[in-house]
Amino acid sequence: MSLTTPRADRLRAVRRAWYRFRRNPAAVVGLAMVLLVFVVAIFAPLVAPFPEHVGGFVDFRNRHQPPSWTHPFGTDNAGRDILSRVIFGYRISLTLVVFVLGLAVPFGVLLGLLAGYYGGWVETVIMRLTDVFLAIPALVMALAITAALSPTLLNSMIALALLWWNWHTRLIYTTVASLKHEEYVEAAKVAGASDFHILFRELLPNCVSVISVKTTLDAGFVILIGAGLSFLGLGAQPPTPDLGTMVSSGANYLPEYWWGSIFPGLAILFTILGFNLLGDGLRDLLDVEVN
Amino acid sequence: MKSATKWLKPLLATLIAGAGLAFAQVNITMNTVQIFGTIDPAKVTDYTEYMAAANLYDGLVDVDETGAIVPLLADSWEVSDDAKQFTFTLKDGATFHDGSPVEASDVVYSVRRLLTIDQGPSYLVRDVLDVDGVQALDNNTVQFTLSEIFSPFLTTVPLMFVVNEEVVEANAVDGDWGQEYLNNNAAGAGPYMLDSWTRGSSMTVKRYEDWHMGWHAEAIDQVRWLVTNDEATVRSLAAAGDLHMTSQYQSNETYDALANSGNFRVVEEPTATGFTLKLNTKVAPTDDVHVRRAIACAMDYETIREFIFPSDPMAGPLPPSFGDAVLDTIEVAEYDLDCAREEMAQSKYAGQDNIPISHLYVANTPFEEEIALMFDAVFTELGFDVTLMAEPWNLITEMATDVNQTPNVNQIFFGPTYPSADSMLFTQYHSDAAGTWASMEWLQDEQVDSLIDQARRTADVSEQNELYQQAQARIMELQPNAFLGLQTVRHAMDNCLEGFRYVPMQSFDYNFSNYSWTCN
Repeated sequence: MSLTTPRADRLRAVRRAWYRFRRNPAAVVGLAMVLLVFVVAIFAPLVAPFPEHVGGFVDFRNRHQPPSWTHPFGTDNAGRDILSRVIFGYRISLTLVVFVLGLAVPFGVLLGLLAGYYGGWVETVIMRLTDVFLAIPALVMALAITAALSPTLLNSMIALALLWWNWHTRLIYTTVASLKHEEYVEAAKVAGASDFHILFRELLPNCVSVISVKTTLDAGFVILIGAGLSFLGLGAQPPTPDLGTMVSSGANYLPEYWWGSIFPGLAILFTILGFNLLGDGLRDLLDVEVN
Repeated sequence: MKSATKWLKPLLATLIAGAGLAFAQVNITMNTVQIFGTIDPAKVTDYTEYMAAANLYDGLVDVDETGAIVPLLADSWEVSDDAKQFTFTLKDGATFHDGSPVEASDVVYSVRRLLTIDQGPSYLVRDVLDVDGVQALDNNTVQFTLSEIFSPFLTTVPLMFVVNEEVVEANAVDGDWGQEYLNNNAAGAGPYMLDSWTRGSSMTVKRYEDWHMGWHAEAIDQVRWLVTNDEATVRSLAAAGDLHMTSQYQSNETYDALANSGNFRVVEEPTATGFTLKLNTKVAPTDDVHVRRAIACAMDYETIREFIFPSDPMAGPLPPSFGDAVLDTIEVAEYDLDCAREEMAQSKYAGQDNIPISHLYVANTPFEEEIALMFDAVFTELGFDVTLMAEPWNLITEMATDVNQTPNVNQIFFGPTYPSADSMLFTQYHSDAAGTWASMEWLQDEQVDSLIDQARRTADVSEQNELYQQAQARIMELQPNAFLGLQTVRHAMDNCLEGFRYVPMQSFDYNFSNYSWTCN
């Protein structure tokens, strides 16, 4: 099924998928939002109106300026342009996503493959360990880890990565457990293929759609929990422009200077919504169950 | 129907009477930004802890707004000609919260307890007073005999809070002087009694009816301190009528919002509390005096005083309220980046890039974070690699006990704990006082030590002032601080609440027996 699709067939399949994807307006909007966030984050120094307001910069004479043409999102308590800081804040959020999912997804998928394919004691050990991790609320555990280590961006990324792999393990485990009795796996076995070949050339490609949907949906949650950690002061430290930290410091001046908190909050909402719409669209498109 | 009204009437009457009583009770709430660590009068050290102690306990004498020592549990006192012996006569009729009389033996017990436990204000007198130096001559007379002249002695006596010997000893475990007990309970003769205390969140004290100083008609019946430094919480509590006095550490925005609400007014008093950057003189790069001078040149004092933390200019270690002890030739520092660059060029770190420097401030305090951001902006430009550290206060006091854990630059408020220049100089700069949050400079300079010591041993005031001035000159030479400003203490207070007056002694201005509720 997956082994020898000719190139033309594959192209056609892709085109057909894109056609179906385009017919789902929510998914297209989601994709556009996510792309926008990525583009803005990558070209932050070019896009941001006041890139110098991101590092060490203060202008107390301009504090708490309401939204205007010069400062569309207003300025914060140190007189810094909030729009510029939101744009750079996206960089931190996306770094967090890439780092956390980049570590957690491969690790979780590998364990899921092993547990599902081998069964027996391998399954018992891996799946019980997964259960233990699933039993701990992610935010509480992340709080404990970052508070015990020192509160930095790196530590909060490590804490989140430590907590994220188990979801993927469980998902891949159930997928593989049903796939391993498929005929093409049996056929590969009869043909004398190694376990390595079966795991990574037969089973893994058939999990890709599940993984990509789950990962896309996860991205939003990683941003949300990351923002939660920094809201509580356990993430990136000032003056790093982190969205959660900005919401938190802006909250000190609610409701008079609402823009300090509302705009970074909306920025978080925007990304999460984008990833969720995209993930839902992908799920419909690839027709997979992820939960 | 008839039978129903029969019992309804008395029930209603009771309810109305109950409501009337509740209405007559004056309960006020004030927020504090730090937790109460301990309320043991032998262990209190910071502003918040002294606030509790000043309400729960009374000492022999009190301090008024001018810094003068006035009678409290003692009616009168005499000082011997050699200035080494102090004899206090207790007033009649003063009682502890359990109703038992305050006697000379309680005072002796309290002072010995203070000296033995040695964790609170005992550091002020431990060099000149030992446990045998305090004696009860009779039931009403206490005598202190100092080993040598210690000129500020009388000004430290208000901090020697008197505990109820009988109650404390009844609850002592293995001769621990009742430390376990007084950590959670109060056994004093102060105006208020401990009612409830939830560590980390709130403390409530209620009026002691038989307080020896007597009560005025508009007295506050119950005071609740709520621990929160969240500005939004403070504002919503105030809007709901659940807060009557804010801490002195709210943001400008909060004071403005409360003043605009119509129910509050903002009271302001100049203080002798200095807000300074304490520079750790023992670790790189602030071990170099030129780096410290560069820091003193590079702070934008005007912006800080005007926009970030409203305060009065501060020149040197002694606030002007100390009169003739102040070295008045010290000039208020000004923001001058060229001066900072020149100083850096003379330092042993000249020409280096990315010199690591750490800057500590109290977490969740917006104005301190703003100063930290300002520091970061300036010093990154001057070639430093700045690390900003926002930590909770209890961790800061812990870090201050170890010279290597003490960051380079520390934002600290320090005001006189007793109305004497000695309080400002000894506590912050003398080697014997090193290792606390008040002395994060780790100055440990022989010359400064000896000048402070000499001043303490001098009974002659003008000679003493001369020594204090020399000490200030030497301190300015070493530049262990950048003097940001003298705090203008500000509280938003309910329009009905009166009585806040600045007292130049650790939290004595929050003794709520001096407050009144004027809207009955």
